[in-house]
Amino acid sequence: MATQAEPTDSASAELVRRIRLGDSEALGGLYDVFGTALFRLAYRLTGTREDAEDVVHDVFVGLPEALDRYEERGRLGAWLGRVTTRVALMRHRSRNHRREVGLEGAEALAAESERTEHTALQAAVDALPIALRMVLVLKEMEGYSHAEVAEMLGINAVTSRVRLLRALRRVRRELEDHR
Amino acid sequence: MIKDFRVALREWPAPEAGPGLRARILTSRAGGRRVPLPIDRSAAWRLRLLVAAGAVVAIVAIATLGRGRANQGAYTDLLSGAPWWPTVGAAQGRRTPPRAPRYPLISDLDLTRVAGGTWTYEGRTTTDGIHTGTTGQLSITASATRLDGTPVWLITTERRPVRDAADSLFVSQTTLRPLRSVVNGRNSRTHIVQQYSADSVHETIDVTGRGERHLRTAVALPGAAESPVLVLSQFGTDLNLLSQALPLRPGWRGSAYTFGLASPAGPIPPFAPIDLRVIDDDVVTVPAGTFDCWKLEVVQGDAGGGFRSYVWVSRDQQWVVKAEYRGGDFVFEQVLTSYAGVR
Repeated sequence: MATQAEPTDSASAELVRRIRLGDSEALGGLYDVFGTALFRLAYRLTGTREDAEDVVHDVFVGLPEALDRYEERGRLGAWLGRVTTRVALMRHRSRNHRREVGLEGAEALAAESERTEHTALQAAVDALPIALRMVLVLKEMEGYSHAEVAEMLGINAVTSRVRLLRALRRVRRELEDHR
Repeated sequence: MIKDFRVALREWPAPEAGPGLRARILTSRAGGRRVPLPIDRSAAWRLRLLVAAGAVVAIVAIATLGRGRANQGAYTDLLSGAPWWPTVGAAQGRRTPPRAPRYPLISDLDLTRVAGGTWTYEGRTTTDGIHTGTTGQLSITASATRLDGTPVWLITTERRPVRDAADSLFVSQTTLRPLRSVVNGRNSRTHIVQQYSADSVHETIDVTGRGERHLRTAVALPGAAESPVLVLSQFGTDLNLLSQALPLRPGWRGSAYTFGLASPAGPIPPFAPIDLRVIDDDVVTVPAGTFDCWKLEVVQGDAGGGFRSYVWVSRDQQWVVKAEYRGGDFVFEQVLTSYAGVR
């Protein structure tokens, strides 16, 4: 996950230390730094603003306890991205539902899509099964490696490659049909 | 074609999060909401969990005052045969430092509230929702005395079925920090003495008979010199005194360190933080009566973020009225059955 304003290691460590001590302002500070990027990731994974907000909400609410298991071996942003992906996946599994875009969300998406000429592309991505969508988002949009995608989703790297190829083929087919 | 849409994918815009999301998160936290997150489980974490699971089994086996053989010689059985029972060389091993306490170290004790007495508890374990009966009694007596001229609380424990030698713990009346702990094993074969000073612990472990060994170790104490330390090998008996002195109120939280054994080197450090937090108030009925209580969340240890249990402390005298630990398919409870006061 790329963040435009990822703090230095020492700044991250200080925020983590304060959160572990129960400092809610530090939790807010961490949200200020990573919230936008994590929301974007969650939105791409879930497809709706409501679900994305719920995912980010759950990630930050659970963070003070989860940070006890953060071993500070890598970038905090990447670790948060992995946690966000897993929460999104867990949420999808627990609900086991087809994504439904509310009327308000649909209108907003439509308006946004018209502006950015992404209507067909968005429809094609939205039509993907969740397993393919997650690999597509993580690999193509977020820039994770297949090894990282595999680790996040609990699959192996070969499966990740296969799912990406299938996802790309389906999206291409949808776009060709749309034309 | 495919190249174009892959570029488009990377540039796919996402809306901004709602302006209220940050406040919603902080409000949820402040309201006590917690969300368990699916976290990376590294090989090191799995190892720690494995070791910790073994430790829990050992602690619960002792704390539940189990029937029969396990109860009659808990220390000897558990320690002398266990793979982490130390060798002489292990006493010099390198240790992992404990994790940081979650909350500020406890410092604002009201020692005038602390009173001695005898508290008797009954342990019971419920598995899969089926009551499986009591697992024994534990009586904790705290009496005021002197040790080398210093006013102390002497805490002794008595268990039924009776063990052949009682454990004792001397705690400073002015700081509630331990000064001397003596734990005896089955048939007096195992003898553990910990001598505490302001900044260190000197430990001797003597095992006689089969597997005879004698260990001498000293370690530095973590944390501030005035903050309390709980002696893990005494199974929370000193929490009864500490709880009386805590400034409990809604939202109160504080941490201390627990001390286990200095001698065994390995992934479980001799010190681990214990984090206490008032999460609720509750009315609890136990054999000793009905009590208005503070419900405290207790997180102890390092592995997997620590072992979580709950303790109910009466609001008036601040006694430990009930303790609860939930495992995968069982609940262990220790409830107060009687109290006899001695100041």
